[in-house]
This record gives sequence, structure tokens and C-alpha cells, in this order.
Amino acid sequence: MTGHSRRARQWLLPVALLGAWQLAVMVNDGFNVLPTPTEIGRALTESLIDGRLVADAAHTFAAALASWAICLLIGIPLGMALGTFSTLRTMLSLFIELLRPLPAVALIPPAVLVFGFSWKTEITVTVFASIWPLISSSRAGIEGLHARIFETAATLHLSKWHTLRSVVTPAAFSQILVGARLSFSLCLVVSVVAEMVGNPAGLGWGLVSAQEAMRASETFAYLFAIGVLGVCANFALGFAVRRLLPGLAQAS
Amino acid sequence: MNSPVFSCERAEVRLASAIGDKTILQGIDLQVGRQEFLCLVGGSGTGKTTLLRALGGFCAPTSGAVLYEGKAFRSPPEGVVTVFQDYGNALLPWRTVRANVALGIEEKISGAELDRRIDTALALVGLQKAEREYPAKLSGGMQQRLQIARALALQPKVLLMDEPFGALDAMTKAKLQDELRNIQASTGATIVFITHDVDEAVYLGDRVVLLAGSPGTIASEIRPPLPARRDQISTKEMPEYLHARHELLERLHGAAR
Repeated sequence: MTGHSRRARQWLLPVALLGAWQLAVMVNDGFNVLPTPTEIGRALTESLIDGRLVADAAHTFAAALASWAICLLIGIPLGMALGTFSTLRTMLSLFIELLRPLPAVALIPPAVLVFGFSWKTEITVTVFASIWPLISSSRAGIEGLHARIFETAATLHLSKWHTLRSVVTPAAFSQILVGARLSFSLCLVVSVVAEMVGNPAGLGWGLVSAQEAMRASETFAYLFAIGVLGVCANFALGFAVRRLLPGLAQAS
Repeated sequence: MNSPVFSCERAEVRLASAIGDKTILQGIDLQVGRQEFLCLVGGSGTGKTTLLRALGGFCAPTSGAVLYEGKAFRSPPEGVVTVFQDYGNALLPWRTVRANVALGIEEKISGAELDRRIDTALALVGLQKAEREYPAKLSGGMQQRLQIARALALQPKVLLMDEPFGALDAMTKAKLQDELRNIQASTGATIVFITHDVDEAVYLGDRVVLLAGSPGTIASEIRPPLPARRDQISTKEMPEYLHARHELLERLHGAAR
């Protein structure tokens, strides 16, 4: 099969469903609470032209990215330290096991109490929800290393810093990356949720306000935009990893 | 000049095991001479690896003493480098051959001096042509050469080798044995070499020490009266070689009984 016809087949189902949707709403009165795909398309174009959608998407993306950066800065060192020092593990594991199962959404009311309906609430909640996979993958990355790798560093008389930077971190890297990608997807999802209830801004808030104003086609347009943002962001991350860290292909 | 590099005095090593502490080595009296090529042989479970780890600074004696240049130590002493049998775990797969060799020296030297040291080490093991490759692209023999080159880059006084050729085929093994004797002749390094292969021990060693029992003790030692320059074919036909090999096999089997 050529790439061309494969791509055509991939689009077959979505296009057919959209067509069926359009037809069903036009023909049957029972579906008339739903907007037709053409109405959604019109609403999407309108909000794109007046700039609202782009501004909202930019806000959500920036909030997710900022939260992710904080997750990386705290989660990776913390996870690696937990993998290295058993005393730290003993001290923190109960604490972590208590915090971790807390649903992120439940954190929104207390965060609003402390920070108000603001970007601080959004970032706090997003970081809290998205940091766990990074902590556990970084910890597992260190714990899974072969003892020989530490003995190699010792027999070559590497300093502690050189061992950490040139041996341990790269060896644990592919494992850490798994957590980083997971955390990134979570950041996008949780930012939208936090915007819906904790910070009146971005795509999440756009979605809720369109629904509250009973603008059905705009609600669906926002839903569509959230999906597109998720796909684009994950694609961009994969592309960046392949471009910036080509040596990884050799390691795995 | 004739003070030993390593000296063990009634050294005992106990290690934690599933059934509590277990004595692995007992009453080890051993001196390793300067520029000596010492082979350690013995059946499995006689503590060869533990003795090498004690010399390498990975485990300390629980009683008695293990001294390097007259001093006790708790971590790998300066000038002593261990080469492991499992090169696959010891090499860094994300670094090229050159970068692997650089690992142990790049903190101390840089620039042209670093390049020169890497080139010298690669030349000693004949890996110059593969310098841009990643370890995964190399054969087992070449990967072990790489680990040896990485150790040699530090210009060590002592190389500790734990069955380094154990996982290699006979042809590669013979070639590397000759290279290793040449490397020792040109660098003047002291080598302690573990093997369970009696032919390898007699062919390589200036002295062969036999470990036996559990806990392991030094059962006996021989000095094969062979010339410094050895050859896979003619040396192995010498009556002295055959005699030493016979003697060692007999003692090894006697110890096992």
C-alpha cells in the first residue's frame, strides 16, 4: 500500500462519522440540540478570526508548559535522590504515598482559597497532579541501574559530580523520559480542568463559558480546539526529543 | 624496588548472604610484586573474584590486612583499575569508542593532551579504526579491548582483571592473551588476572596462585619457568610449559577432591 492511499484510509472513518452526524441532525428533529459539523466549523472560524481561540489556546499551552517545567525541575532531582539515598526513601515514602492518591480536582477548592481564581491556582494544581510519574520514573531509572555501572565509575576514579553527570544520568535517561512524556500529557489535561473551575482563562474557561451561554456550536468548537492542541503538543515534544537528543537512539 | 605493590596479611573477608554472614576468604597471605603478571586460578566458589574485589577497593577485609603500597584502603586506590568480565555492563552504550576511553581522564586533562592519551590507549589495543563507533556495533572481543583501553588511558600501575576473556571464543582469546602480554611489557603495569582456564594461567602468568576450599585459602603456587616473550604455538610445546600445566592441573584436581 502506498503512503497516499493509507492516509486516505485513515481519514475515511472520521469523515464518514462527520457526514452521518451532519445528516442525522438535518433529518431528525430528535438530534436538534446538537449543532451540525458545518455550524461548529463556522463557530470555529469565527473564534479563530476574532483571535479569542488563539489567545485561549496560547494561555492553556503556556500554563501547561510552565507547569511541566516546574515538574521537571522538582520531579527529576527528587526522584533521582529517592533512588540514590535509602534514608531519604524511608523519610519520604509514607508522605508521598499519602499525597499521591489525592485527586487533583479535589485540590482546586483549597488552592482557590489560598491563591484565588488565578493562574497560581492553575499552576499549583497542574504541578501537583502531573509530577508523580516523573518522580517514580526517575527513581526507577536509578534503582534499575546495574551495580557494575557504579563500580566502573569508582574504579576509573570519577568524581561524584562526573559520575552523576556523565554516567548515572545518561544511563537512567530513557526511563526518565518515559515519565517526562507522561507528565507532559497530564499537564495539558489538568490545565484545562483547572481552567474550568479554578482559573477563568484559557481553553477550559472558554469551553465552560460557551456552554453557560448556551452557544452549542462554540462549545464544540472549543472541544475540537482542545483536542488539536493535545495532538500538536505531543507531536512537537516527540519531534524535539528526536532532534535534540539523537544519541538516545544509540543508547536504547 | 622490590617492595610489593599489594600485600595481604592473614586477610579474611566475610560477606552478607541469605543465611547470614559467610566467610569467603580466610588466612590469605599474598604479595603481588612490581610489574608481576599474577594469575589466580581455582574452582568456582573459592573466592577468586572476592580476592580481586578486595584488591580493587570494592570490599574491605573483615580481619587481617590488605595493603596497597603499604597502606590500607576503603575505595579503589589511585593507580589501580579493575577490568570486568561483563564488558556489556561496564561500557557506556551512548558514548563512542573514543568517548568511552576518555571517561576516566577527561576530568583531569583536556585538548590535545586528552586526544593524545586516547590515541595511545586505542593503539595499544588496536582499536584506532573503530574510534567513531558505538560499543553495540563492536564484536565481544573488540568491546573487551575497549574496556582495557579505557583502563589503560589512566596509565594505571595495576590492572585487576576478572576473567576478562571468559566470554570470548578461543581464537579471539589467544590473540588478546598475546596483546595483553605485550601491553604489560610496554607499559610496565602489574597485572592480577583471574581465570579458570589452566592453559591461560600458565601461558600468561609469571606466577600462578591456586585458591581452593570454601572459605577459600591459597592452596599453592607455581612459577612457570617460561621466557618473557611467549608464543601461542612454540611456548605451548615447551616441556616447561607442559610440565607446569600438568602440575597445576594435578594440584587443582587434588584441591577439588
